[in-house]
Amino acid sequence: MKIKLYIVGAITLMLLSPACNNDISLFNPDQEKSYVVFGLINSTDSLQQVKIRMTSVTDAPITDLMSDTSEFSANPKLDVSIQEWQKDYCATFHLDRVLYPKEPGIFFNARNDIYQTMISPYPDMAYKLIIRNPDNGDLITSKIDPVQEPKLGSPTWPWVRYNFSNEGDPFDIRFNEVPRVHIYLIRFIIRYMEVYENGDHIKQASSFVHLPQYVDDPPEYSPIHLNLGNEHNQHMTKRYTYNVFDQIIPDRPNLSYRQLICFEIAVWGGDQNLRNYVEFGIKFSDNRKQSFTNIVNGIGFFAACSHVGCTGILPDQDFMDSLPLYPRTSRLKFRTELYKTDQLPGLLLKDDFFSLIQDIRNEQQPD
Amino acid sequence: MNSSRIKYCLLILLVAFSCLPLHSQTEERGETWGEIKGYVYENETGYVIPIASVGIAGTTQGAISNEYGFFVIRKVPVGSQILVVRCIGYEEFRQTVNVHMAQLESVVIKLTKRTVELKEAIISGDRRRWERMTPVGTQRMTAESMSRTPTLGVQSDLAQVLQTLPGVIFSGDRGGQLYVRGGAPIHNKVLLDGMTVINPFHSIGFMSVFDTEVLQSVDVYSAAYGAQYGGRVSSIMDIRTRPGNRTTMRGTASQSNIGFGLLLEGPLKKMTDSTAGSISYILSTKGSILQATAPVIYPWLDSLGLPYRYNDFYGKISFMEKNGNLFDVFGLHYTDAVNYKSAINSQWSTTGGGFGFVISPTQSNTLFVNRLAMSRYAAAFDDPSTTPKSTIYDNLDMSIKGIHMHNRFELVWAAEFSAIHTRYSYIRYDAMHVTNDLYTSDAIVLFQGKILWPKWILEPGIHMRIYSAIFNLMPEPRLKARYNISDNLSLNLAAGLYSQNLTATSAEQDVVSVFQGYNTGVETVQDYFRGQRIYKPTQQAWHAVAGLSWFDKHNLKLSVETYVKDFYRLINNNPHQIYNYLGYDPDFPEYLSSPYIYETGWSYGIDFLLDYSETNWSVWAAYSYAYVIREDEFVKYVPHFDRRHNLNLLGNYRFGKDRGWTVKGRFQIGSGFPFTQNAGFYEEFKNEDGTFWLDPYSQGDLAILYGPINGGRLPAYHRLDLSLSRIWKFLQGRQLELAASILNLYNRQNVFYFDRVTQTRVNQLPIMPSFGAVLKF
Repeated sequence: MKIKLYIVGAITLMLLSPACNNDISLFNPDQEKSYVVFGLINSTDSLQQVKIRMTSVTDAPITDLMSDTSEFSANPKLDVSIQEWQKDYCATFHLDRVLYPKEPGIFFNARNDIYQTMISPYPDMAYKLIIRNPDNGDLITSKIDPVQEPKLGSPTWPWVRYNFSNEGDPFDIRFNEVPRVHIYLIRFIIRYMEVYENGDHIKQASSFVHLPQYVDDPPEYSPIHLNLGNEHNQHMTKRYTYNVFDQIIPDRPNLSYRQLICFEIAVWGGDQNLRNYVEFGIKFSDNRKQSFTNIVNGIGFFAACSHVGCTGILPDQDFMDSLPLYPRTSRLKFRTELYKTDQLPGLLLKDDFFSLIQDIRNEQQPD
Repeated sequence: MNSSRIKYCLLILLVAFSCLPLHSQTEERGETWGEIKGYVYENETGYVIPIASVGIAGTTQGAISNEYGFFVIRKVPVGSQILVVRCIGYEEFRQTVNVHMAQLESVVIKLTKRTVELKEAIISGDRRRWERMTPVGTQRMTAESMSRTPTLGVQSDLAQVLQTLPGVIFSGDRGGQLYVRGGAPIHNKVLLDGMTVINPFHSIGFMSVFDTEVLQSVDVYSAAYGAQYGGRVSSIMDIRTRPGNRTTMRGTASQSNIGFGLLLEGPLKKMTDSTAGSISYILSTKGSILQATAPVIYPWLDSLGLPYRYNDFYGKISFMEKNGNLFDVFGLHYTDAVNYKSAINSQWSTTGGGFGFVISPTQSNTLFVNRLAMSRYAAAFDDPSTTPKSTIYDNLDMSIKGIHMHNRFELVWAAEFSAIHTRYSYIRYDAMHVTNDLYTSDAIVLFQGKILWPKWILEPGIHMRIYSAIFNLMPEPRLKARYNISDNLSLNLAAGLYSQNLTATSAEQDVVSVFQGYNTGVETVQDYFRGQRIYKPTQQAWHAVAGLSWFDKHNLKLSVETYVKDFYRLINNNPHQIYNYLGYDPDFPEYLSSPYIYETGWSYGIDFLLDYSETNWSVWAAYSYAYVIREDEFVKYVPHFDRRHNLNLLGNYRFGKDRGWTVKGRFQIGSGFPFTQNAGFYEEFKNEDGTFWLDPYSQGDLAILYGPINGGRLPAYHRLDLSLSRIWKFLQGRQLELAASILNLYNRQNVFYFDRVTQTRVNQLPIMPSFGAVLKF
């Protein structure tokens, strides 16, 4: 009888023993690393870049792993190329690996692995990204059609005074839809000079990003002429613009006054892949857990974009006169006169766009 | 068939079946006999007494009172007859009734409680009920049976008791939800006196909105339920409240470190020996004080604490006419709030009310049960990782039910109408405020028969539901059958078809779901599912259950049931959506673009139950072995509530002078829930600066790549709860109870959630002692 009891007890213990284990396996032990690819074919630019990283599958707090420079890095010997296709025509562009210094942030890695080459995309070509790992034969691919530049209707002329004060006919950022573009991003930049009590002059720029505008049915692409679709119009009344000032320009101690230099705008267009990535990849989390990807054998995206911009947008004097008086902008200490015109930057050309953005970024970097 | 024709057909059916009892009564009241009908009530309180045996002395004629205490005896010989009423636990009652030729005599019987062992009354009553039912896929709970479960605080709660039922899975102490035999919460319907209660549980998982003291009975239909219920594809919980005491003012006050409760009841017009005509009221309120007491009493709680608040109010006025017919009016208001600082912030409330009749007209032997109830559930949710959301569920339920009783046959028919409005509001990714308002109405006609033979009970039925919004008539056949293998053992079978159109916005992949929005039907679901065009987007399921049930005269109850639910069409939030939905477009697969998708699913398993009660002790053991599978166009997965093994052991022992001490214990062990493992962390592209520029210098955001849905398993769940109480009884039914309990006695660290990034683990509730007192006066 005793033996039977022991046997029953032993079996019960054996059955219950798994219940004592209280550990959680966050990763499947067989989980392999994946390639993380972000590539853009920018029709407005000739420099095309692809960022390639790897996922981390180490079962440890990710905050510990982010300091490990090798954890997210891909094999430096990757063979990366972009093929330009049109029917029987195919040209291959090899991308060179360039290590860019990484700005400070949550990933402590010193450098970004960027693969880049010079291509001026043609809208009637298709572009295929091919990544090969010579060590294990991994092949990662994706294929896209480039997009055309957004057609900017207003503003078009730099260094001209635009009327922000007429409520009935406010300042508009107006552009037309172009083929294959499914998402537009509109950026409004305020450039101004800060003068401090000790006499220091610091040039500043602050950006405001409007909500993305989505296009479900862009115009058809034609190789003969540019088909334009619906017109989009982002109104900026005086009060709206004052609120933008209030929202993006910070308070600074020991500031004597500010002077407005000019406004700039940029309109970016993205293809369906970028729209899907933005629309469903962001963490608005309506219980969604999947991120969009169009990379075969990897994650991320290979997508097409373009942009257009205008600088030297000057507001009317009525706008400037009210700026120090409006309750939400009075604290910003703007003067009513614009900054000296002899120090204005030159006319911004399309090709200078990246340097403008980098310029703004550099100015925003903490010392 | 258009809607006007459907309504026309329904009207004809309704009129036809309303005439059925009138036809039969003229047939059966012959020239040499009449009929007796009436109600059986308790003398001391005026409560209904079901399963009372009512017979004519010196004959074999008789009837059993039903759940409304109503009975009909047919073919009673004309003349002075002695009515004998017996019910275990009550004194025998005799009354002379003069039966007139072809007439229907109406009586109201009031039974006086006998001073016998309570155990005998309960068990025998249970067995009498068991003998007359098909005990499959059904569990009945009363206030007495619910008191067997140890609970946090001092009073037992339905939420705690339901977790011990076979086939029921509860997903956790914090924000837990109830899953019944493979059905999600949205697939379970909770009825309170005929009113749909959309959220019956408070955010803290061990408290329901119901005051146990008010409940008359709780029937949980976990699968293959009969034709009287519908509108959900998995299960039904039918909760009935009792009226207030019709003879004496009574009250119950409770206070514990968890919460407080107060119940007052009594007659506004007393029921007397001479007349049953009376008016009574019952008022109940309960609430939590956890937010204030938890930091002091449970200093070892994690940073989440217990920031839960709830307040529940319920009131009912019940009118009884001198012939025993009833009319009652009720109202309720439940509120709940969770506020984790800088994390989850959620509030919801339910407000509702209604009225009902239980009436048997003069010269009709049919019992009519009519009900009209309205409710509004409103909830709002906010947390840093999502945009604010809110939802509203408005419901109007109307029903007229006829119960036609013969000795060996019973027919229930009903016509019901429900109107539903749902609103789901949220801030979309592009900062647009989106509000989905949907209005639907359902019309229902149902017939449920019950045929009793010596060896068999057969319960065929049909539930016909018209979804007016999609012009869909769903005839849903149902069948229950019982075969008595012996006096104590029966073989039971049940099957049926079920449908619903209510959907929830939470995906079944969500592990913790404090909030879910509601849509009564969806407009943006796939047109095609697995290549087949779906014209009527209703959710549908087949159930089948087979089981053996043993209930002997020594109070031992054993049952084994195996079930299968074929959820062959479900509608779920689409977790795979990566394209904007623009209607059907062959270039974009619908299962990647539609906000809602179809799923199929199976659940099957086997449940074992042992239930034994003695005078001093009782034991309850329920074991479930279950599989749940869901499959959409894209993936096959097990939902997060797929617990393979689940065992609940309950023990209860009374001892000491007058058996005033009671010790209760509960042990639960269940295999781990599935969860979605990580497939990797990566650096994501960031475009917050308003450009698509691939900045070669930039930092990306940290992102998580997920593995196959629910591919991993959490550790097993187990917990031991104990409680000890002492009751002092005083004159006139007054009593004081002091109780202390400990939840999670050995402080098992059952996982609640796991932060994937920091690998920080937050567990379910740790060891939690509680104490309190209940005063009945």
